Amino acid sequence: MSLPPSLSLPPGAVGIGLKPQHAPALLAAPRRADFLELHAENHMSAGGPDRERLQALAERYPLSVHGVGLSLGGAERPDAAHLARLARLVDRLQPALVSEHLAWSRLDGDCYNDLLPVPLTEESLALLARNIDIVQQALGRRLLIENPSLYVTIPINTLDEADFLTELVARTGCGLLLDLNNAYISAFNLNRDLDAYLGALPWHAVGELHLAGHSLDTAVDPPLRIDDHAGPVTEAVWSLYRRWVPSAPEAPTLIEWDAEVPTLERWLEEAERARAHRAADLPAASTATLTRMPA
Amino acid sequence: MSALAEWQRRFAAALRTPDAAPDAAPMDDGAAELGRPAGLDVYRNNVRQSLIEALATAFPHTRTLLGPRYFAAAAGDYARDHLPREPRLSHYGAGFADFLDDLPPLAGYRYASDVCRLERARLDVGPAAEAPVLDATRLAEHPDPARLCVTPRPATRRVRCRFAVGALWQRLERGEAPGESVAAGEEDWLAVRRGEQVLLTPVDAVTAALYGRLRAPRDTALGDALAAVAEAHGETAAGEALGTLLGLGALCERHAAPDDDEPNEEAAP
Repeated sequence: MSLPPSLSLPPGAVGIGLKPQHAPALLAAPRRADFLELHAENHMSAGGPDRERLQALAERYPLSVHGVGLSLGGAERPDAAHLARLARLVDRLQPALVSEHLAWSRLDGDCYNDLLPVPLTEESLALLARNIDIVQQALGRRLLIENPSLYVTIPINTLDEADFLTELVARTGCGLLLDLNNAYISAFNLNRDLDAYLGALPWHAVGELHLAGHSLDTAVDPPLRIDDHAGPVTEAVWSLYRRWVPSAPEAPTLIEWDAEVPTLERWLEEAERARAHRAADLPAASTATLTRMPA
Repeated sequence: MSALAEWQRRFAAALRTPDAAPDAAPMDDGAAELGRPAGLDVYRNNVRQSLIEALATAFPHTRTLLGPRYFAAAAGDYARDHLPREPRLSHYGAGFADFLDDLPPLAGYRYASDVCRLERARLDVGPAAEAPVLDATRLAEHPDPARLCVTPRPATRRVRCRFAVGALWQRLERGEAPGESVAAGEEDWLAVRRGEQVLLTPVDAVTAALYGRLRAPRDTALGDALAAVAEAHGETAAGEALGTLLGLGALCERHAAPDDDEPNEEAAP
């Protein structure tokens, strides 16, 4: 099934996350953002008011379905029941984008409810590629895989993360969801060369950009940056965005904000800032399509 | 076992070990290179704290009754021993009420578990599948209502409470102080979603019995279910029970009831 033209994502779209408290305002007003991103696991319901609201929003906004529970980076295959739930959600909403993480969370039937780090080895690469193949086959579409925010260096790593992602794209045809906040956090926490990492990524495959806020935990020595999504995008990450967005001028940008969620107006201000940076930093030809979509 | 699976097991074991010392980090042969126990703590804290917060979100009235600090401690203990079995966090905590039942410090506050069960029922009913309500008019118009196969709508649950928590529940719903302790006394409740609202209603034992009969997995003719309930409780009571269920919007025709294709896998059978 193809999307109605009005619900396709225009190049360089800027979206925000969907939170239940904002749904009435998003439905009542003219379109407030280019697209909305929702966490898949929060909306896998068989019925009820949330499902109805989401359906109404899907008729109004292009959607991005962002999964957190498939545990693609684990040794196990994706859980069949959960994959079936995701397939039903995707079939129902016909989102413009579907994404998941370079992470694992499930082991022996237990779910750890976090995005846990994946050792970057040839074996992990093969298993992750297998799992992505399974999901892409089940959904009948390309999946975007998000780079992680990391807090530990894994001693058994044999591959560099950028090389790992490049090979993953080549083997599976998946795209990348490049989270610049995650890249910044991992570089800081792991003492990684951020420019070298970003420069080595397969930018042709970047299908979405994420921006979010994070915090600095100075109670530990040395400090750690924590990916808490509890505030506005930091200036350092905005700076990264301005430098690197020309490398993926058509990729949609999503402003995440998952804790201490602000008012819709405040969130939209962040989206406007992304829009302004794009207009300032991209060649005119790339920004021509960045006008507001009609409601 | 693959090297990845082995590594995951060691990492998971470290996550489940509270305050693991650096030398107890998961990669025994590489703990030095792991380098940052503080990093492992971030994952450990994310897992634990997110589950405590999920339970606090799911059971606000239970949290009020126990107090935030005791609730957080109990939720933390539950999370340590009961990781989610599926990734939908809104479905987490199906066994939390039973867990509270076994906590010795709550021996004098067992009604808190009943409140917890009511909150769980409300959560389970909210996203359940929709089915057209069977009302009294439709039933009356049916040429042979006794042969009609009737079942509870997917968006309903029965909860058996061991305490008379009705007044307490109403106070909690109004945001008032919980007040005095609650007397023992079994009560059946039905949670029923109507439109955007989930109504929790105490019902008498006969109504609960008829609900249970109709919930049987096999096709149950309404007349047979009513006859069985009437045999135990009398025809008048059985008829009144049917009226109560119809009035609450708790029933639908079985052929109109879709399978709940997103069931709570953690819920007790």
